[in-house]
Amino acid sequence: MGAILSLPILALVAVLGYVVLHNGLVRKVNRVDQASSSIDVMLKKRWDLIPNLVAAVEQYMDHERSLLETLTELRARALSPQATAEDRNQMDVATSAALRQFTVAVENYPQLKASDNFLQLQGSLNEVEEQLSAARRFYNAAVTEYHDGLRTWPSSIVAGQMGLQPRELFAVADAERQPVDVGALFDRAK
Amino acid sequence: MATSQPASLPPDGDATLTATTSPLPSLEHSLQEIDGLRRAARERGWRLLAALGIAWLMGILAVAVSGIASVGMMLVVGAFGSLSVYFIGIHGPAEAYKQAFKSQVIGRLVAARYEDASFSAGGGIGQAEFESSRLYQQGIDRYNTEDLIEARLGATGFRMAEIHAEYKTTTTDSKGRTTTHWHTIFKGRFLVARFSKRFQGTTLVLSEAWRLFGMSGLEKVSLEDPAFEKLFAVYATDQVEARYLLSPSLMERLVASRQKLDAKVQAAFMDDHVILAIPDAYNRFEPPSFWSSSPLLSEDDVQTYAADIALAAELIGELNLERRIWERG
Repeated sequence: MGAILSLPILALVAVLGYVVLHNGLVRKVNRVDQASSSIDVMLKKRWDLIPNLVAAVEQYMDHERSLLETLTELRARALSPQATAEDRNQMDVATSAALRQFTVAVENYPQLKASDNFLQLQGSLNEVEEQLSAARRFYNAAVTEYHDGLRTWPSSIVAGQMGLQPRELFAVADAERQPVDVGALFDRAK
Repeated sequence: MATSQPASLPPDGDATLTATTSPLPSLEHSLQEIDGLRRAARERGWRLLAALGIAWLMGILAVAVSGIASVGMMLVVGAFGSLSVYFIGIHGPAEAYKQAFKSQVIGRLVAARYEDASFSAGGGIGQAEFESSRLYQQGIDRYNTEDLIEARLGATGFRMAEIHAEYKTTTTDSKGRTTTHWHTIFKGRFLVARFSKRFQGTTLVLSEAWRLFGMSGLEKVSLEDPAFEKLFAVYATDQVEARYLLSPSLMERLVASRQKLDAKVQAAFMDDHVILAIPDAYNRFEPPSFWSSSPLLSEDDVQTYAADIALAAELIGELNLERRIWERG
């Protein structure tokens, strides 16, 4: 008699457990998506800033014309409707490297430092870069939490049933690990 | 203690300015004047004690001769009366000595250390502002604040004041007598400084690692630095903004500051400002007791006061608040 009564209770516990784990995983997926979209928002802010930045400096930075053209081209390609997510990621990494070169190159143009317009844009750029870095850290934290859900028992069973797949963590690109080649920049500026 | 709440910080200055590093001001003239006040207070103290001693002798003699009152009652009334007379009599000279010390020693040391500096012994950071930081959740029953420094270090305007916030509990024994106990919520220094980044939301860096009910309207933020996570719990309105404010280097700096101060430092980021709560068992910026027979202040004493004043500069420097990614207009 006792065993017959306990069966529905066990079933109820199992169903409740499944619902809790399922909803927990859905929340983790949503958080990863939210983090991913916050990166996109920051990238958009950065793309919006580049034309203004280029316009503000091009009359001073004659020797950096190719760098400015690269930045403009990267932006155009990233915002092109044909660009895939992977293309955009590549443009993003290349843009980060180009902007770091740009920041170093600016040091050769003291007249830029006297321009309020440029200082304002540089402040915006610094802010966006730091926000972008924060958004990537949020994304990595969200993905790590999501992976914990995928790989720990018993939520791994529910995740398997839901067909959830691991997401890629944002890693610092090799190009960004390399120090900026200041010497080459200075040679070019001569 | 006053509970005035200054409306705003000193204006941000030119970011290229560096902190004032002027040497300690010559305090000799002020010290002589303050020493005169100290001697006056001490003299008043001795006179009061002498007068009270004579009164006690006469009272005891009167009781012994007449035998009209109970000795126990006389002792209670006499002790209460003596303490009242002493504190009323000593208050004026002691307060004059304390105020002169604060304005002429602490005030001048503050002016020598910071730009656009002012010191107000009776000023402070108001209870509403303390509570709005959300760093301490317990309801406050008694609140004192004093020794407000308002100044600028390089580009960073700040305010720092001492705060003692308490709550009370009452217990009733079997005979129906109630006893009130006071418990400290926070005692120490509160530093409010303009932060180097612009932001909209609220981020709290708390020392208590675990909270049963979380924080209303705020999400728990898990950060990457294990040393930081061991010491602090972060709650914020926005996950990205919390990470924008708490860069890896700022997390390291907060850990280092907490270890250096050996205190459960907490921080709140709101309204473009950072608020730091630094618990401290001591009441800073107070003069030596007027009963002391030694000369008023040694060079070491002055250095100690100067170091207490420099705490704001140290924290602003250690947390790199002077770095500006934006030049504020």
